[in-house]
Amino acid sequence: MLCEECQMNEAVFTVTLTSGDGVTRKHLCGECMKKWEANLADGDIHSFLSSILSILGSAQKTDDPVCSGCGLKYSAFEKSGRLGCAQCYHDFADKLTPMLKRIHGNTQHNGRTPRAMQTQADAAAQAASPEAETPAPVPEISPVEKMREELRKKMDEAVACENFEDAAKYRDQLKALMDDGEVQA
Amino acid sequence: MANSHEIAVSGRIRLARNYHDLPFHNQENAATCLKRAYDALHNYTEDLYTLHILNNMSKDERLSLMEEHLISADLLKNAGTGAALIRKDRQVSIMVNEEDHLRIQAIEVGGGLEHAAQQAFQAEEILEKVCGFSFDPKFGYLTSCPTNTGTGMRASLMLHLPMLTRYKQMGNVGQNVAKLGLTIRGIYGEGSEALGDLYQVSNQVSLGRSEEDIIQAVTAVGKQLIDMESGLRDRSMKRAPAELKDAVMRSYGLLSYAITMDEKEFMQHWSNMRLGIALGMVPTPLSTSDELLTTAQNAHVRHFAAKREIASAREARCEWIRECLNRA
Repeated sequence: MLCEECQMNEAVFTVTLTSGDGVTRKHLCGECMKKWEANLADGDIHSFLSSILSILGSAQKTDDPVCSGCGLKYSAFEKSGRLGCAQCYHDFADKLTPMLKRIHGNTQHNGRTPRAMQTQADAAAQAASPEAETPAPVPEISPVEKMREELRKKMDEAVACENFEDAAKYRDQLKALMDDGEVQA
Repeated sequence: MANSHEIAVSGRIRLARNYHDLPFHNQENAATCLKRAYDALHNYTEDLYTLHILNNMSKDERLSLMEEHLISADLLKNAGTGAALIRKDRQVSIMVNEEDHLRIQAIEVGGGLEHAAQQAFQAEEILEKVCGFSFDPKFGYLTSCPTNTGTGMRASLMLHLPMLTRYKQMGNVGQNVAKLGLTIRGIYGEGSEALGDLYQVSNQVSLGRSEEDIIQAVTAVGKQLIDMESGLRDRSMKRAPAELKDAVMRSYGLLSYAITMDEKEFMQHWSNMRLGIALGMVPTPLSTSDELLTTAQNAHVRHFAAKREIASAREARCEWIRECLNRA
């Protein structure tokens, strides 16, 4: 492998840097490695930092996530300012969440929910209310409803832990169940 | 003190929505989005809405809809796939295939944002019957641009603020409004120039606040601006009534008797005339002046010129203004 710094000599050293964006490796030849070490020994912190930043910079360039839903690259979103689909919100959550915080000063929705979700929430609230415990006929919970309830719980937990990948998975499963329910109705 | 409708021209609520099962903006899905929206409104409202397909309309017909604020400049850019479903009373319009699949919009003359919101949510519920919208428990309604995520709602008030403009107060107002997560900008004209002294105050933040909170914030700031403008009007009437009346009546005279006028000059005189109506100097109803705000714009007067076989749009503008003022 050629040295990534001079692109001329064979690389014999591997420099490993750990940052918030993960681990980055750079392969250097003996000469370039010496320059690096000299920078450090001279206390030339600027040259040293610029070397590190160039490595991290090249790492960031390759860190261009792609949405699994619509194939949009994050870099394309940065250019256009337009997301491609709902899945983009989950696949880019790491980068989008701080951006939403900057724009809105908040990352948690606090407004209306779609009607379909409202009726489910109302039903759940009614079931949980003390009146529901009176000897009135208790509605039989279907196995599908049980599954929905479980999925909903899991989804809420995943969201609370900011585990958006799992939350999206549970949401999609829930959606599929709801769609089936609607067709049967 | 002035009545609020003498300063607040209109209120507008806009909701951005995307169907849950389609990518946000995709040429291939444009027809599906339009069919769903059309089917919902056709089946559940007994043809209360009229369909306007931009591709089948002339440039001026499209611009006329924009001058009425029923469609946006962004929808015009997507004229190939864009369409609008407009309620027959023209208070609610649904733009299809704009930046998002649907932009539901309700306009209320005189400003009442709560009522406009009711109308918009009513339309939303009907549209939702055919297919649900993209929603996430954390991020709320998911939109193409992250600036609309959450409620997907933009609440805005169109305010006529000639005295605040004259006394150069709008710069200060803008800075203070930004601290509250709101924004204020001129409606017509570019850059710092606000033609007709018309401004739009609206929310910038759509995530983390409820729809009610957003409406309340915009209404509260609107009320404050109305009070400030009203105070300045009262003060000017006490201190220099002759100067104020002179400016108003000169503009009214020009609107009544000029033979040709471009849009920019019209907007300047329109603003003075509207101020004069509010102050009881000009015997024209406010509704007539607000109708002129739309119907004396370029696309509308070009249409009028063609109908009456008038050579230039500028001449047609003056003839139309005279007709409206004489009718009133």
